Amino acid sequence: MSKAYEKLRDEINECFYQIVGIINEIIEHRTNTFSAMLEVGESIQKDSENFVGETEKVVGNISLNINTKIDSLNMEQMRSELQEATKTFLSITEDLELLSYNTICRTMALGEKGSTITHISKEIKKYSTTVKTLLDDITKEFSAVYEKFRYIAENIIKSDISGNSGMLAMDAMEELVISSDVSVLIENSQFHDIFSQELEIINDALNTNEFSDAYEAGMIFGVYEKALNKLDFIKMSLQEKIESIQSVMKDFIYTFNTDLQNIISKTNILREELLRVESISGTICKTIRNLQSSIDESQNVIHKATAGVNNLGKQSKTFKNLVVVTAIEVARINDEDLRSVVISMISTEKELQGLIEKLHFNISLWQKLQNDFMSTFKDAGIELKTICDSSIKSEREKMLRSTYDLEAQLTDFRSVFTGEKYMNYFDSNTRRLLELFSEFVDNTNEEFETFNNKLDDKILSDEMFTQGRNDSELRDILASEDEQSSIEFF
Amino acid sequence: MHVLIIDDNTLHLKMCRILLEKINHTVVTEESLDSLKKHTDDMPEPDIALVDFRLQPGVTGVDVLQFLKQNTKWTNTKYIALTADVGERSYLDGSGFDDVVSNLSQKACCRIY
Repeated sequence: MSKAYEKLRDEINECFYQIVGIINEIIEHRTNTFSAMLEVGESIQKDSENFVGETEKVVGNISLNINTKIDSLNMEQMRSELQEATKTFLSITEDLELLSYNTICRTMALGEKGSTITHISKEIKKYSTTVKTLLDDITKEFSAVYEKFRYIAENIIKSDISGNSGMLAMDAMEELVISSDVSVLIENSQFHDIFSQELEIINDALNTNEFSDAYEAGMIFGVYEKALNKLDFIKMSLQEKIESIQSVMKDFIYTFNTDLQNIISKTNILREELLRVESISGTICKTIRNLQSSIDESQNVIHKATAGVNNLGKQSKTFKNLVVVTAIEVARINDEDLRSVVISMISTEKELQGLIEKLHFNISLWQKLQNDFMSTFKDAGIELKTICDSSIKSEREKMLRSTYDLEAQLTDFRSVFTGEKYMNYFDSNTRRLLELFSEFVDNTNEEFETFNNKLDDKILSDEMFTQGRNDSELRDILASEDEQSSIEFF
Repeated sequence: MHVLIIDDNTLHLKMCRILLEKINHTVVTEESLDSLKKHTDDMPEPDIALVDFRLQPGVTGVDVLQFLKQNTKWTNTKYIALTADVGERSYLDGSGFDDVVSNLSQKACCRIY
């Protein structure tokens, strides 16, 4: 065989390696880089689902507890009790004013006889003014307590924690079906072995054109004939194989691109879910913190109201003393008209006592309510640590970062792994391979022609030549490819 | 902007919907030509129609494009073909689409709009 012929064979082999290299590179991308990204994607999904599930559970608990408290909070009753108390305040202050004026008028008419009672009547007037101011203050304080609870109740309803809790659930994510199957590429990655071996066999068989007798000449002639027939068959098989690999690669790249697209889609969806959960969690944490501080403030308002009622209690003792002193003095001066004043004072004093008791009762109810809220929100605060704490926030941010990192990796990967690049490279190499192969066949034909020209009629007509031609052999691999293939596939 | 997306990949549809709605576009999605045929009468004219090339067996994005062009009075819609097949791009270039996009991702979505 000529050097040019061997060079051609080497070029064909080189071309085979290039094509196999392309297939192997794609296999490498699919089995290593892609699998690693797929693993990261699955881990992000698992972490996100755990995180969202945990947040949903915590917020669900908090929302249930708070809603139970809200259901037991009867704002309408609080409002009517407050209105009733205000009405009683007005009635008592009017009674006291009336009493003081009534007493003053009556004692003035008594002259010297009523000098002591005149002094008492001035005390009643003074008391009336003090109690009026006190009751005004208590009205304001009770209104403040009412407003505080109203604010808390309205904000719990407005914040709609339970509604938000429902939105925390993650949409069921469709199972990611990976359709790109690398085994079909692996199966084709050693396609060249048989063709290389066939070329090698032909190369070896046509190694010499030298002969010493007609039989040898016939053997060489026969080998050429068989080799040329074989080359036609190899060329056809090679073309078919390349077309088949091209179709396999095209399908693989399509499914691979679809897989990549699906991972990108899933990563984007997960990120949006995480952002949504982060936003809802943030709102819930802020709402709960605001409510906690409002509930803390409500304790101060209740304290103020309690102090006001206690003060009123002390003042009521003074009034009781005034009633006693007035009754004694009225008995002493024995004035019939003033007796009715004493009766009125006793009645007012009773009303005042009743009011003070009622106010204490209301305060105790509000204090209970406040304690309930405090305890609920304290529990909520403890549970909220699992979603509001900065460490959790950083964990959530880490997860978000992972989704951005993965998308960046996928994007980079796509810029490296472009189907067009591989297909173009594959096409140009296979074109070159077929050209080289045709050249190989042409060269063999030329060599055969040259050899044939060396044979004269005497040799050609020699029986031994015919014998040698018939005895010539060329080992066949492609014809029994299935039996001879040493590669085990999946 | 009104965006119509026709794709048999539900994961992809979901992602596009989330991303586009987030930036205040109105999104209508259809998973097949058959379901699109049932709904086109009630659909407002989209500004953009994103059409996946490979749909159900025997149906391609070009069939969708032809259906929409023949059966709607949409005159301003821009039709964009989506494909993950490297060999389809050149075919799609001459098929009547206004543009062809391969490998649709968040970046590609943003590029379109």
